[in-house]
Amino acid sequence: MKIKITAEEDVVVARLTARKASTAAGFSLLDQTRITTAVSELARNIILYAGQGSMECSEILSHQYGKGLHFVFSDSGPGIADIPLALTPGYSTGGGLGLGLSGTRRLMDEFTIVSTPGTGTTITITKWLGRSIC
Amino acid sequence: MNRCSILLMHQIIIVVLQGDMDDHSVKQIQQKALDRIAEANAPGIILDVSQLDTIDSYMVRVLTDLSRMARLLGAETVMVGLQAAVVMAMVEMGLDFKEFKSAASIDWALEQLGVAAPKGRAGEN
Amino acid sequence: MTEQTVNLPNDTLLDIYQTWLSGLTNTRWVSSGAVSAKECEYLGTQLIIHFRSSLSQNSLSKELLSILEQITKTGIQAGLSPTETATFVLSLRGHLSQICTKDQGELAHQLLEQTALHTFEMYVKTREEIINQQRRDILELSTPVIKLWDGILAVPLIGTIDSRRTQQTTEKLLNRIVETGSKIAILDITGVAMVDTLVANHIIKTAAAVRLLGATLIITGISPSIAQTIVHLGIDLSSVVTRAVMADGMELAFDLLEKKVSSK
Repeated sequence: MKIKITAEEDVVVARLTARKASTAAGFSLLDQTRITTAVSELARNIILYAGQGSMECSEILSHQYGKGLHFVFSDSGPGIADIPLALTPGYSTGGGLGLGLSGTRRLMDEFTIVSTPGTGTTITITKWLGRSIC
Repeated sequence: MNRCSILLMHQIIIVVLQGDMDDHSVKQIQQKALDRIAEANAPGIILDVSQLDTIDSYMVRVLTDLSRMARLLGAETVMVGLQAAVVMAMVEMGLDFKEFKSAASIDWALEQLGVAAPKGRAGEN
Repeated sequence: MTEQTVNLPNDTLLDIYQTWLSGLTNTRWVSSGAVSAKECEYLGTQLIIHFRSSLSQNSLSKELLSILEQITKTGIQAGLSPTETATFVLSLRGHLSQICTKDQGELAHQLLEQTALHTFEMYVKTREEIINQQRRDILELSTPVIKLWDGILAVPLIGTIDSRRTQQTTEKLLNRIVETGSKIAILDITGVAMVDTLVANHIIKTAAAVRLLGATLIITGISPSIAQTIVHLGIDLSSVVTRAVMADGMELAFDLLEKKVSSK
């Protein structure tokens, strides 16, 4: 399922979509909250930094971990010039206009980011049902 | 769109936040809350977040801003109703509400703000 | 499993059922006594009906998958192995020619194989889910949160801490704080064998979470060797209140509670 993220209201839609999908997949309340928080953060980033983009959500299966929920956030915004910097813990967390990327990464099991300045950014996150969380 | 409500109790403003707020309704709520604080000359404001099933960095900033504005008007902020799952996700993300206190119940929040809780209230503690 | 009445198909197929079903009674499905003959008949007839409709649409139909799920669950509950469970499906092989038309023959064999494999996989997955649920239940029991006093909760951690248990404990503690409106939580690690960076990080996270809820976390039961380990590892627990012995923790808790109650 794919939704366009072009306005603020879409962040709410993204959250609701994530909540519904994670409940349907059978995640615990805690994991559902982790997922919706990560989704909310990334969807908001698109609005803040790229203006518009999209989010794709799908259920996936793996031999090792069983069922999982997979999200892809993409935009054709300005991109992130210094990815390692953006991923350092404490980089604009909480208080300011934070990218919250490092925090989001901690909430999920898998996190990949591909970004080219001037072209756009694609972030994928995954959470597995069968994996023990730290 | 904005179903947040603002109550006045014992001179304290209570803002009940809803989960589907966008930037526009946020600004509305901030304005309304501050107006009511000024009107009532309230010494405190309680933020009820029990309806929020997700709190991300944006929400943290919004609420922190509100508490700063309230403080300028002479009102202290106490937060009530944080859900356990939300707290854990926040801690993992590295989010914190450094600037104001939290309480597990409205009664306790009122106590923290220096207002005696009414007698005969159904036990929340 | 509730008994349901099944519309028996026309007479020509009746023979198949009898032969096939009587064949089943030689398997553990009936000989183990865990599954009644009536249940077998119900599952079997459903299987054949939906298998035939799957044949005509050339894929495993939704109804077929659903009956496979039932067969799997029944097999697990009866204590049958994955192979024995799949045997239920495979035993249809000898009767395929009676169920389908001649030109469907090849397809029927393929579909039967697919069906049996699916049953096998489903068994494994379902059993895993059951085990996970049991594990969660055990964890639930082994992490008690005790109400020491009005407003004071205590959690004793015992044994080796793994991240899952710590998280479970924190979750439970937070929920109880919200439920009871407690202002103090005492986490006692006297019974903990070893503290490493991972455990220490969990403790710090727990303290932060408790603070977010407006309560205070006190950690008690820190032995001299744990104190050494913590400092050696360079872990900063300065934001957390700690005490060596549980009794001191409780004393502190009462002090704090008094202060909280009497102060403005």
